[in-house]
Amino acid sequence: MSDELNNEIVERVRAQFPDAVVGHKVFAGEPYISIKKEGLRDVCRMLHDEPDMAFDYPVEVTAVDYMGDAQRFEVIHVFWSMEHRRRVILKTRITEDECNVDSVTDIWKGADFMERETYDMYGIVFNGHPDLRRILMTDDFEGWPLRKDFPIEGHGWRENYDFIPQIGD
Amino acid sequence: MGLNREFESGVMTTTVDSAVNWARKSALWPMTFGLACCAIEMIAVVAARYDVDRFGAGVFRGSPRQSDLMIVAGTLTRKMAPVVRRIYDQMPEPRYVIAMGSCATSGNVYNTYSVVQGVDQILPVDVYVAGCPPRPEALIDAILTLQKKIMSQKVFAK
Repeated sequence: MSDELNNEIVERVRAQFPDAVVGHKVFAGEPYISIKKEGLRDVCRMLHDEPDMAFDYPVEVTAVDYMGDAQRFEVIHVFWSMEHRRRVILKTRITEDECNVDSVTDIWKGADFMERETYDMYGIVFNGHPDLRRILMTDDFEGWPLRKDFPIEGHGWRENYDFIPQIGD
Repeated sequence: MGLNREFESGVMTTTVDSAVNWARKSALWPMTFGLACCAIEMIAVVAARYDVDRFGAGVFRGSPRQSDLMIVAGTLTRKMAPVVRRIYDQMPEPRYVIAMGSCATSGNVYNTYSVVQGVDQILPVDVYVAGCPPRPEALIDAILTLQKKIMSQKVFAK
């Protein structure tokens, strides 16, 4: 896959959403597009619906914690087009105070569990998600374990084990 | 020695303790309880090559109510811990626990938010097995060690 062809995706997104795109790069033949939080859903809708884009497979929804930055978290969406056999990566920076981003579960249903996992690990809220609960940790778990300020020695439960049912001895 | 001669052949004398302990150690029924990769070695122990049935511990049960030995084989997580405790409470006494592998013994390298640092945090453990995962011989050795421990227990005279 040549860089020019993937630049086509970038140009297309830039042309259609000039206000939403913050920046881009093409690395190893794959386009990385930085999107403003407000424009994420519109860009995703276009990438999914347009026949020459046709990104029908949500590969990954995840996040990165850049602790210390003004815009602390970066939500990353990776999509793959089965028809055109190419990939696009969207990056959305958000702040710790407004730690939320729009859900894309109504566009790709497969993003459901991945958004739940990102919520579970980073505490990033996905607006409009139909069932935003923890998926890997227990419901009574406190804190967001993959945030950089989460203590490595556990978060209290390892001290007293009070969640263990005390039956018999 | 003189006493033996008064009985007919085929009769032997013993204590109640050792007779009961012998019965207990000779028929350990383990729980099928694989939590992670150690379970593969546990399966190998039951299979033909190592054949733990030779030591009377080959009848793996699917229910805690039918078993008296829990082999915790693998990493115990925060999410699984209450379940393990509940299963242990459902086992009839006398019951024994083998912590198989580094994860069950101490949490291994997983000093993280989600891993219990050894099953002895929530259960009384009889025998620890080192290894990541332990070889089948190591688990057989743990069962033999447990059998020795059972033989040394007092059943009636406490």
